[in-house]
Formats: sequence, structure tokens, C-alpha cells
Amino acid sequence: MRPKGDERGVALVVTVVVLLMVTASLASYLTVATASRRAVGAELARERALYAAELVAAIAVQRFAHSDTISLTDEIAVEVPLASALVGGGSGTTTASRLRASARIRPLSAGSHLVEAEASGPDASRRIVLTVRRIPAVPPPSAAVALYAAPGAEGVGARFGGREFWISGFDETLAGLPGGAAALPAIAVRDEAAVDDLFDALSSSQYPRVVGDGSPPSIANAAGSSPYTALRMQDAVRALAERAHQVLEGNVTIRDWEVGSFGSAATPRIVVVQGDLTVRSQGQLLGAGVLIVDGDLEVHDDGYLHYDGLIVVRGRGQIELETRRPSWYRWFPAWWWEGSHLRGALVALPTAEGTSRSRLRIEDYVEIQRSEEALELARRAASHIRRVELQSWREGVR
Amino acid sequence: MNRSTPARGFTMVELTVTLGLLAVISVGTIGAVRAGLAASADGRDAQLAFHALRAEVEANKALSVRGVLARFGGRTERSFEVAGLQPPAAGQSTGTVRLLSEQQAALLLGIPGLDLNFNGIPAESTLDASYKVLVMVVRVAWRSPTGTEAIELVASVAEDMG
Repeated sequence: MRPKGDERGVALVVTVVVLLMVTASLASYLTVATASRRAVGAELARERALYAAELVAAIAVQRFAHSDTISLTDEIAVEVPLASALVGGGSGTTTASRLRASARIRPLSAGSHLVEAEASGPDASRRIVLTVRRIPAVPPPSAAVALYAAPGAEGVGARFGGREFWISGFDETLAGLPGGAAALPAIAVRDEAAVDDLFDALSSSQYPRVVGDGSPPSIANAAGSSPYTALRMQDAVRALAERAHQVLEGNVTIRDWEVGSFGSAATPRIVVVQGDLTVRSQGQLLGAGVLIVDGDLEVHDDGYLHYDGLIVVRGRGQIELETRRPSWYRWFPAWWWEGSHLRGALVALPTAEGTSRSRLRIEDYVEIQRSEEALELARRAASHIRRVELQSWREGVR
Repeated sequence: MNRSTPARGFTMVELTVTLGLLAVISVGTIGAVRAGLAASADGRDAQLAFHALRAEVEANKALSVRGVLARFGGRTERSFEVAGLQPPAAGQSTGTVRLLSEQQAALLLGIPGLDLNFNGIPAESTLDASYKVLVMVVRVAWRSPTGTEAIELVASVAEDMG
């Protein structure tokens, strides 16, 4: 059909328009197709800057933790090489650009320190601000005997036998003199059901054997007063166990006049028993420092425990301390024989799955005396462990 | 020639020009589509590599220093595979993580006296559980139609920073 006079050239216009549309579509397609790659490049640059800032912050924090002489002028600076960045067409050519990162640390109030770290590279900059503080490697005990429950569990299985045992939250020196620290409860738990269980397990004639802060029996729910939650306590004990002087695998039994030595006052040690620890039949456990038992702790059948420091029972949190006076004792002077004693603190910290609650059984000649002087031995044993606590963490773009 | 004849067709010149134009346009379009498809595949590969890289870094950062060393099974390097990416060469893994000794980290970061276990001895060549800060280099490399590509991150694992 022959076009009319006013339609001449329409084909050319339509062709040009179609061509433009095709070109625009292709350009858009290519832009979209390459956008994800560019996005990865940008995200990678940001992540690199963030990890570099974290790296210098970590070095600064650890220097702070392990140095007693860090000054306000200390600054940690590193240059992180950008060894390869989405390189194509070859085998990862190294670029000359580097990411510069630096961190500064300065004191804030109440023992906290502020750490400012920043990293900047060719394509991105990141900044993080932390507050940290030093924390003791050996957590301060909330009582002479602190009983934690497994997560979600309540109550405690308790049994007390005889009227010879002694649990005291009053501070006493290793020489048996009154110490200078304020009184703590004899037994601290973290829920009311456990308080009730302990009261139910004690007869009124046994009340005077459990002394400390408050009237006997000195039993308190420390959930509101002690900041050491079970998780925090587990974290602290894990740090101790990871740097133990000695790790004993499997169950350990001390018996038949054997003497198990777990450090001394001169050289207190951190010892981990990765199983049950049983002392019986005239066996003796002597030691000082920190003793961590991953299984059950049992002292019975004339077994003896003489320990100065901190004992932590993890695993199922099962503790049985029972030292009977042998029958032949009556033929000898009183000072010839002494029962079991722990000076320092005892902690049940169940960590095993399926554990419903801790169990504490104390019978006969067992003395648990809170002693800051003995706990100082635990701190000495852990003097190679420096810990810091992260209080806040904030991230931003510079 | 009588150009007023209504039923005439296209001339040979018109047809040749039209077909030439079509050919040029088609070649350009096909090339652009191919480039777009390749770029799209590259972008997908880069996304996969980046997510794998970050996942590996975070998996290590979630652990303690001892946990990381246990994960590495006593070695200083471990490899991992990234599903959907072609290894850069036969027998090679797409992902690798290297843990650096004080000596290696000091060289990489430009800190001559770097002491990461705070025992007072800088730039030691051994790596063990006494380290308070672990420096790691995580790398994902893969084969693409244009060659070998790689992305790399330097990150750290530190005690008490969780």
C-alpha cells in the first residue's frame, strides 16, 4: 500500500524509537546485571574496615588487660593490606592500597575504659567504640557455699547429717583468727525454692552449725544481690579451667592412705579433674588454689579433704562431703585427728545437660569456712589470667 | 523507471542496507545480552563468595581462641567449600582460612613488636592456645569465565570480646 503524503518518514521514526528503546533496555539490563557485583565490592570494603577496626580494638583491649602501665598516649595502629579485591582475569593481583586502622584507650569513671577504634580505606571507613573494664579472674564468692541450679531448674537437693559439721560465712584467716571482710551468708542459692529446700533439710538443732550474715541458719537467696549469674560464673570458671596448671582426665579416686596433692600455700595451683573426684578410705586430698571438678565431688568413708582456696563442682553439681571420726580416735588425744576442712569457698555450678538441680550433702566432721586469705591463694593461682569484660559496643560509619 | 507504480517492491540497495542494519543491531544486542548474563553470573558468584567469607569469619569469631584452635584441629589452615562456586583449580578448595603466628601477623600488619599472647616475647613463630588475639586471613577464590577471582578478609578472634 502506498503511504499517504503525511505518513512518509513514519517508518524511519518508528525504527529510531524502537532502536532507542532496545538500547535503553540493554543499558538498564547491563546496569542491573553489574549492580550486584558492585554491591558486593562496596559491602566487602565496609566489612574489611569493620574487621580491621575490631582487630585493633581487640589488640588494644588485650594490651589494656595485660599491662599495668598503659598510658593515655598509647595508640595501636596497623595497616591491613588489601591483598585482593574482586580481581578478575588473573590470579589475584595484589593492590598497593592498605586499610589504616588505629585504636586509642582512655579511662572513664568507675574503673571502666573507653576504646575508640577506626579503620579507613579507599572505599569505606568504620568506627567502633567499646567500654571495657578489668574483672577478677577468680569470681568473688557470694557465700561460703554457693549453689547454682542448671538453667531452668529450681531448688536444691540437700541433706545435713550430725551436729559436727560447720559452715561459716564469717571471714577467717588461715590461722583461725577473725578476718577483716564483711560477713557473707553461709549458703547462698539463687531461688526461693532452694532456700526452702535447705531449711527443710536442716533440723533446728543444726541451725547453729550454719552461721554467717543473718541469724542461723545463714541461708540467703543471692539472686538479687550477687551479679554473678550462672552464665557469668560459668564463663569465669571456664577461663580458669582453660589455663589450669594441671588437668586430670577421667575419674580420680584417692584412697587407702594415698595423698592427692593439688597445690600448696607456697605454690597454689589451678587443677581440673575432668571426671568424678572421690576421696575415701583414709585417702587425703590436700591442696591450695582452685580445684575444678567436672564430675561429682565425694568425700566419704573416712576420706579427708584439706583444701585452701576455691572448689568449683561443675557437671551435675553433686557434692557429698562426709568425714566420719574413726572408732580408734577415742584412744588418742583430740588434736591427733581432724576432720575435713575447706577454707575459702565451695561452688556448685551444674553445667551438664539434663541436670535438674544441685545436690549438697554435708555430714559429720566437715568444716567449710569462708576465708579471704584462702581465696587469696586462689587468686595467686590465677595470677596469670587477666580478664576484661566488654560493657558496651557501638558501631558507626566515620 | 516509473516510480509511481503502486505494486513495486524494495530495491536491492534498500534490502541490503536493512539487512546490514539488522545484522549490526543483532550482533550488538546479542553481545550486550551475553555480557549482561556474564555480569549477572559474576555478581551471583561474588555474592556467594562474600556470604561464605563472612559466614566463615563469624563462625570463628563466635568461638574463643581455644575453640578456634580446636576447630582447626591443631593446624593453622583449614579449607572449606562454597556451594555453587567452581574451585580455582582441580584439587583446590574455594575457601581457606589461615591463622597467623605473631611473626606472620607482625609482617602483615606492619607492627614489628607484636605480642599477641602477652608473654613479653614479641613476634614468636609458634601459634598456640596462649594467644589472646588470633589474626586470621580468610580467602574465597573461584573460577569464573574470565579467570580466577578471589576476595579476602583479615579478621580477628579475641578473648573476652564476645
